[in-house]
Amino acid sequence: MSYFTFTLLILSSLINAYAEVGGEIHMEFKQFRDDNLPKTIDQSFSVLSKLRSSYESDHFKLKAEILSRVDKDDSQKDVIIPQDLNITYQVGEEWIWHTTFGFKIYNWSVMESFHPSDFINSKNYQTTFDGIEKRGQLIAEMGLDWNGGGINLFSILRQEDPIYPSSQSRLGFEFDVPTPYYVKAPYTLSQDKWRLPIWPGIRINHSFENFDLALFSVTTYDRETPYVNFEYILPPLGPVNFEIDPLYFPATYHGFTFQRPFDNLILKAEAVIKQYQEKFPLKNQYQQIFFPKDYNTIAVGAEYGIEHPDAGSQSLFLIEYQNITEAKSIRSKMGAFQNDLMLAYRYSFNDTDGKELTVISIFDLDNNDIGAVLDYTQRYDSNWKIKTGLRYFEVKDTEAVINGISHLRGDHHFYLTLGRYF
Amino acid sequence: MLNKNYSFKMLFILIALSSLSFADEKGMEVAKRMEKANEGYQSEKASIEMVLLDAHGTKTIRKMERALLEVQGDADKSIMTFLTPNDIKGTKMLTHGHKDKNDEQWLYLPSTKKVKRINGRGRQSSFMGSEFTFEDLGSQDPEKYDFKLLSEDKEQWVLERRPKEESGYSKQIAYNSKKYHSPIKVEYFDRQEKLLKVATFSDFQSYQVGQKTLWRPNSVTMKNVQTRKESVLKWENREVGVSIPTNLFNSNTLTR
Repeated sequence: MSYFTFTLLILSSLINAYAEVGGEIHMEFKQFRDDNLPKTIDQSFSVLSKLRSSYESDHFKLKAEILSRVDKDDSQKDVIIPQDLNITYQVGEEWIWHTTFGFKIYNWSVMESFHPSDFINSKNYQTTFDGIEKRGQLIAEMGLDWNGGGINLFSILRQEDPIYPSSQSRLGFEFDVPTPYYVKAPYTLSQDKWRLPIWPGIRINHSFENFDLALFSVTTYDRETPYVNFEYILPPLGPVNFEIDPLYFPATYHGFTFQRPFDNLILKAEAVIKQYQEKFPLKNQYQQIFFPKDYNTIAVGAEYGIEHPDAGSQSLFLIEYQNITEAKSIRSKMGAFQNDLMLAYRYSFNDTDGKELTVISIFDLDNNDIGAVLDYTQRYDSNWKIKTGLRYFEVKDTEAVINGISHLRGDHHFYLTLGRYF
Repeated sequence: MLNKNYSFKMLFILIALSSLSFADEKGMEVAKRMEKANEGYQSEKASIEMVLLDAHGTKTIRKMERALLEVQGDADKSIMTFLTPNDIKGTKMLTHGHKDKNDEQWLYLPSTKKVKRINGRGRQSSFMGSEFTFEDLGSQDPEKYDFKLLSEDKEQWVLERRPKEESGYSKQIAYNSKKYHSPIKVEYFDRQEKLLKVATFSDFQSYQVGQKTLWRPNSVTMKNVQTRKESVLKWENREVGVSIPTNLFNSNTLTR
């Protein structure tokens, strides 16, 4: 464990000593279908824990939330992640000025499965697409809230690397992904996450009479679409060796999120225009200037609720669509959901056990691949909860490793999670 | 002779019809009077315990905190923070009530740190598995009902109210205390006009806000006569007319 992580744990303990504390512990069991590869794990067991605490006074608010996971067989899945570890100071009555410093998770997305606006926090790609974990980013933020909305200005002070699956994972590649590089200056790479350029971000949001709208513009490193640096080492005799290093370029994200309810229906949309910073190019091994291509992502969706008054329960139908507005051959490498449709249904029993049954299906319209999830959750009592289900991905074997949802190939599994909340 | 009999009959019918319309106006008048008597509370906050009893008497407890903000000319704003069960601890539901259109609602989920709009029309659904529906707990603005005064005595008005909008109930009969300006019993009838549930309001306490005395029940019991299940809401540490920051009712502050 690094000194940095140790310091974070001490800080959170200090907060815990004076604060309201809660958390959860989950025992996660997964059984995968045998893929006939000795290297990958067919059965996994891990323990996930979250410790959460907060303290509030008239003007100050301290928040701490740390996530940790220990895996029985794959040590690369072991993580300790501060998600929220921050302090906020606020003043005002009708108009509230606030400033925050520390680690923070942002979630601007209004959608259930597709999240173009969810780019600030680095993600743990070892977790599922519909419940992906995020790493807190060290930020400094100030803002102003008014009745129904607010404006926030912030800067990311330290970049966090995404967490990639190991070579033993069904979601991984045949190699372990090395530590990434950040393009720090023209033709300059760095792995130092502290001494990287700091750029501003802004978000304005307001709830109007019938809809919510947020606009944002943020410059940060694009950790969602890494470019890969191949260095070919050609010995006189013997096989070709190569090293693969993920590279992160800075980009400016302009975008919006929108939601509008109509009786039983809620319409949603979010979009992002991604513009890479031209001042930060690289040169490849042939000394050619290399620079990623700008692109846009748009997602739209709707949810429709039906009540079953005799039973007190509710059905929810969801539909979402995401598109990266580029040619099919180009966008296939730009993200997991480049031209995808999601259909989902959730039945909420609304009983004392909080039973919910969810079915999600994702269709990759470019490659005709399909993913499906069947999920059931139920509370046992006030402290215990069970979650179980099946995940299945129909991905053609002929596809490259990284193409749409092809990285989910072979991730079929049954899961059972027992959670204790406190 | 025939014309005289016909005239008496017409006169009788007209008087009966006018009595009927008078009763409807009187019913709305009583409802408005009660609404006015309960205005001026400014804001309110309380801890709430909900006890759920099934047909066998097995007990389940839920705890939450609620704050209310009175809005001039419109329905109230409220924020409810769920404390138990532990898997939903920290979940917040913000409601901006409206008299002339659907309420607006947002839900904050601490597990995803996400604020999402939810359907303000899911009123017939059960609230946390209890015998209360969101409709039962939502605003009971007179504008949303047609009223009929069924009877009146020294202590109470008995009002029949029929929802104007889509509802899980065909009608409700409310027994309203003249002292408390609040129902002390409400009978809920399903869409087949059969008695479905009975709510009883008790443990009334008075609160002074400025020059005004307001009464609030600290316990509401809802019995489902068809399933024999029962749920009880109990208010604890209720404060009325206290200063509550208005930004608490802003969807922006749900994540902080």
